[in-house]
Amino acid sequence: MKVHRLHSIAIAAAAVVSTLLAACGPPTAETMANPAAPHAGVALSFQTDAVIARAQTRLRVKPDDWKSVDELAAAYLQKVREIGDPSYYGKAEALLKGALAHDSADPEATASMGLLALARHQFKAGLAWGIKARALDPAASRPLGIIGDAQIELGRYPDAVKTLQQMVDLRPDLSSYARVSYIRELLGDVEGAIAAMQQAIEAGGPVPENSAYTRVLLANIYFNGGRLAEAETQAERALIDDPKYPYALATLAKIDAARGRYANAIARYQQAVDRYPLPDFVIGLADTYATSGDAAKAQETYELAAAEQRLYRANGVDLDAELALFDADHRRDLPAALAAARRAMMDRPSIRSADILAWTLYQAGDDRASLAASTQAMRLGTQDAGMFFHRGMIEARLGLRAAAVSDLQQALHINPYFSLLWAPVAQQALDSLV
Amino acid sequence: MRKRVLLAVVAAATMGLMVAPLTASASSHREAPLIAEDPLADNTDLYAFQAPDNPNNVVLVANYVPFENPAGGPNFYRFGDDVRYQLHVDNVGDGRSHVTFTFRFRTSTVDPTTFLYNTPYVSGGVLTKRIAFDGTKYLGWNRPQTYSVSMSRISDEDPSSVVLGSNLLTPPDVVGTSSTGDAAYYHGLANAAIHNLDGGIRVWAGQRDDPFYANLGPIFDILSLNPLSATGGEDYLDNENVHSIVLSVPKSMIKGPNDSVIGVWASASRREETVLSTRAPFKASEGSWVQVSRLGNPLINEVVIGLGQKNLFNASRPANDAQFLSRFQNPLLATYFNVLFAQGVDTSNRQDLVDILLRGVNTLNRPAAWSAYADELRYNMDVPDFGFPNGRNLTENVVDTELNAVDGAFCGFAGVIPTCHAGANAGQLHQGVTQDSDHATTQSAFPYLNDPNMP
Repeated sequence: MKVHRLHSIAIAAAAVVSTLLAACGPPTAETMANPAAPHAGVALSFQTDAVIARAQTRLRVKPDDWKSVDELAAAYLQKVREIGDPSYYGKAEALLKGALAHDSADPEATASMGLLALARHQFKAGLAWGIKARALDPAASRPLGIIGDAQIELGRYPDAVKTLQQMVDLRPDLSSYARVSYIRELLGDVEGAIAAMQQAIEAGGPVPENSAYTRVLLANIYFNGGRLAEAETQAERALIDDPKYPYALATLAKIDAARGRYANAIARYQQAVDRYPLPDFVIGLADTYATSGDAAKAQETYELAAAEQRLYRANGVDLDAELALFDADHRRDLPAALAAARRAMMDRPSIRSADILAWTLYQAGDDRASLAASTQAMRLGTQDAGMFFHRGMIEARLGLRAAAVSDLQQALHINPYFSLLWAPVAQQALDSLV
Repeated sequence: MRKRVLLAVVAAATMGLMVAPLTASASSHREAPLIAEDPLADNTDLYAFQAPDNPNNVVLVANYVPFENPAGGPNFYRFGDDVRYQLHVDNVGDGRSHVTFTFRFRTSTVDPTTFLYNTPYVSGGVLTKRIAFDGTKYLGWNRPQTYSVSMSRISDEDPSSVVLGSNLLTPPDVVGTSSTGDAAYYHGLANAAIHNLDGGIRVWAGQRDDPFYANLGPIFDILSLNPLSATGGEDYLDNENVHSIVLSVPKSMIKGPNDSVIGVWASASRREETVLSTRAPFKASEGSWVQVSRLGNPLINEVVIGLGQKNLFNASRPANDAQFLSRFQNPLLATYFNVLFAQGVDTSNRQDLVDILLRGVNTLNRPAAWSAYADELRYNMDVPDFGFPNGRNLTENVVDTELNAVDGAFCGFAGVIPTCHAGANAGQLHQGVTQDSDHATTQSAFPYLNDPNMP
């Protein structure tokens, strides 16, 4: 069984790598006509494949059908979401550049460029595209979503609140409610975040992926508050919409792992990874192996995660923050991690980047600087157990005992399951302090 | 309003494209969806006709939730509990609503321990799965949806509007023979949700066969349309269902002070939300309503308004439609006809289209006290059986009518429509389909639309 699982990870990774190789260089007529074969059992992807095939057929007849170009690019972006193959980013970009060369005021292509930039974590570029798209269609709400997402990741929270207020005033719907939920969560208003996400679910109507996706978001809000039963209910409900929905499976795996049911967690992570080898899922799987005592398997899986992250990078995705956190958590190459965390703070000065910088500095031994970064990270009052844990550890080493006890207690109070690797460390640290 | 352009092109993959690309991400930043479609609040069609079984009543039908696949599980379809659905009647001609019917829906869960749409129940000592109506409620339906109807003669936002009915049942969706029976059995279930209210009003809301038929792909990819062939097209809505609000109301109740002309439109609104207001306990009902879709005449957003202004159109009110006047006067589609099909129809100053679509046809359905350009489905209730553009009935080929109207078929008609130079084939254009491919006729009894297509 274990051999089989490892084998399927390898296959998933190989599929990603091979499509990466195929996509090196600009898309050719052949690669455009033959997108990667649909991942077995991916119903949603099948529909996207139909959209892709249709648009490609139309473009073969009429290459200057710019509406189809826009649609094909959008479908390629959707495809990454569904099968985790970032090589579609390059294909989408080439199409969008063509559409914009034909008509630089094409609102759809402009907005899609914004989405692409966000997907690649190029948030400054995403903001610029969003602003441009807004100017082209001031009554549309989609550009406001792009602008708001970028502002959040750039740490411009008061601007983001204004943007999202405009968005929800302009068009209250799933997209705007889900964003209202997120900014409330960042601002420490967890109950408000839950309420807004429930509205988003209601507004999603009968579309299975809308429902599944927003329910997983809600499940994760509950999980982050340590509310495993409510998280589980929502994630299970998402599986009714789509029985193999990888985001739901990964959340359920996380819940299993939090409850100490490692075999179940590993099986579910494996299912999620088989369908969509998202680095987050792979890291979750590796952490579960590590916690369950299978060091060799954990190591292999961490290597896979690292390989995938390199793959995303090769497709233009900025992963400085993610790599820094990964390396800091696992104490790999700390000088490189620190450099990446500092770059992330320059390029996307969000509270999350600040928290990652704080933790990387701590792991690298620079406690003073890490405390300052942590203060920045916690400036919004976000109820994030990981942030409190990082701060508590920093304070403990600085000899700020009372503060450390308080913050470590708060971390475990917010979510005693916040990390397989670190929640036990938080408890040990607390025990040694009191 | 139905985004037919988008949906047509990707018809086979509607569900997949409901979600516009979310920001695909390696990890980390929260991906929030950017939905292109909002089906629960998506107004697809509006009809106004004299009740076939009661000449004293007018029937208004507003359809929402397009492209319902009969095999709709696991969520099935319904109205949105957080959407305000309205039918507006302008019986003056000023572009404002003078009689507003508001519909609000509420879904409950009988057995909260299961997500199932229907749950077995005991009947006569036997465990039964098929949903049944017991005279007051549906047995075995786990997610019943009820609604209220209210009426205001003051405004769309009138808090003191008169409640005409509340806790009114909708029927379950057609789910499958083991759950909702065969066609005859389901017909009984559906008709149990007919409600006769005070004052001669009848109302019904739920799933129906979508009576609209259209060769959507070629129409919006106008290049591949052969407008001179009456057949050979494809009904892109074949076997699709929709959610309908059907209101039969006495003419006398909605007739205006000056004449028998009404102008009707439908809308859907959602609540806005205050991003930072929830430190206090959250109240879902705080925000004011924001209109997210509206519909008067068929296909206005697609044929006339076009990309770039469709969001503005959906958010704006008929009373302000003068801002779109030039799109009606100078229709882009007429230019396409000339380029593609050598029609030679006038492409500017089309007062004929302005009359037909924005202010009513002189002597037929222009309000006596006309004052506002407004996209309303005009209906002179004293001329009941004309069909679009005087009201709209369920079976007519409204796409053909509009194609020909754009080609100038009504130019100078009967001396009451302004003259213009008509296209070479005006009056002979066809979309290629002539009837709803799954139902050629509708039922003669309320609620008139056919039962939904079966899975």
